[in-house]
Amino acid sequence: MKPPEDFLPRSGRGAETAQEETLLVDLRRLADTGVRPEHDLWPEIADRIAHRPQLPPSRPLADVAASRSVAALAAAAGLLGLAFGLWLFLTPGMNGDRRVLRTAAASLPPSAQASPELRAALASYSDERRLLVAAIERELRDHPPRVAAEVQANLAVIEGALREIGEALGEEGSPPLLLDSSQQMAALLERELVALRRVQARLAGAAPVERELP
Amino acid sequence: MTATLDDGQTAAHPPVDSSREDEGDLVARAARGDVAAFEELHRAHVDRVYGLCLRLVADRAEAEDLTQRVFVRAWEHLPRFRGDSRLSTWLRTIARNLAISQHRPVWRRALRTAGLDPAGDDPAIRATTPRESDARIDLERAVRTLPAGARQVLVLHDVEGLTHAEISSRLGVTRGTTKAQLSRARRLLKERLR
Repeated sequence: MKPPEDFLPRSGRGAETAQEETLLVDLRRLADTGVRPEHDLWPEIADRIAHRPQLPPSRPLADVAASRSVAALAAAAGLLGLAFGLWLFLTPGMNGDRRVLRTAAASLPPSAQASPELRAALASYSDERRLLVAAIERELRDHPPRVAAEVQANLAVIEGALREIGEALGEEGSPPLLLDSSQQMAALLERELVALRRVQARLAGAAPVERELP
Repeated sequence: MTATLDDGQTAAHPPVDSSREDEGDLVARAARGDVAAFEELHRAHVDRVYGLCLRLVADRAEAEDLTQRVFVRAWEHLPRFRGDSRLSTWLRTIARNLAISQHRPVWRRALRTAGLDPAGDDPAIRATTPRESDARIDLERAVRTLPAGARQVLVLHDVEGLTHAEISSRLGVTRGTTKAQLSRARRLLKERLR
């Protein structure tokens, strides 16, 4: 009587394929397998979200009317961001000796702080910006001082642009316009992060890649 | 599903508790700013999110920080979660995106230099695995012992189900690189599980 196939010794490529198939099934199951952290992460999360406003529910795009003045500034900042990247890539360098960057995250004018969306975007932006600046400072340790000076100068340019946009938002004064402009401001903050990522990628010897948001 | 890691951590996926409030209701409450509801959601999902983060970064402190950032991001965006996918799927997407955006330069470097860097195939590294002390190495830990570039591609492809096109586009490397790394990761994994 012929034994069932499972009882036959497997050898060569067939056995290898079966082993790989089993491995793939097991790996796929890992997606549903958790690992318990060594300590409770909730207290720190609770502390962090206590200062984080939630975004308002999405509105249909048709409802979002853009403020012309802020849209124009947004476009200008976009161009500035591109110029920033190119400048950083092409500039031969300046003299300097700093490895710690003097830089400040963008802030909102008081009249714009009524927008929960802007506040949430700013909080998220500040968090990631802090990490990026720290990463850039780490990378700068492996580069000549003139590179730090270059990065510092370029950061000053883009921060100046963000300040101007913040002031323009403050001058708008009209809550509906501020609310409608908030997505553009959030996009500008994201652009600064993209520029910082480019800096970090360049310092790390890698080409920049756009980021995907959840 | 439960597993135990050699460093004492337990891998656990708690079964859905029928006595627990309906997740949809918790999501709705959390989206309206109810922190207690969000804490319940956190308790239900933290192990799986942390497991994914740990597989990707292979460092407990980094994985904890990443997990916290995932839940902070989820809190902010929860009002915009439409429920088109399961909450667990949405959280995994946030975790992947945050991990990739935070570590992309390092991962890319690891992927690009992996072919030249034999560290992952180093017998000294294999010797640190329980296989050498006749202990059965579990899959979870075996994944964590893989070299960085190979591990990330394996987790994103074989565990998370991303395609080579998606991985190469997000990490900014060629498909050839991700395929080569996946093949290397599977080979190393099979060796370490033997």
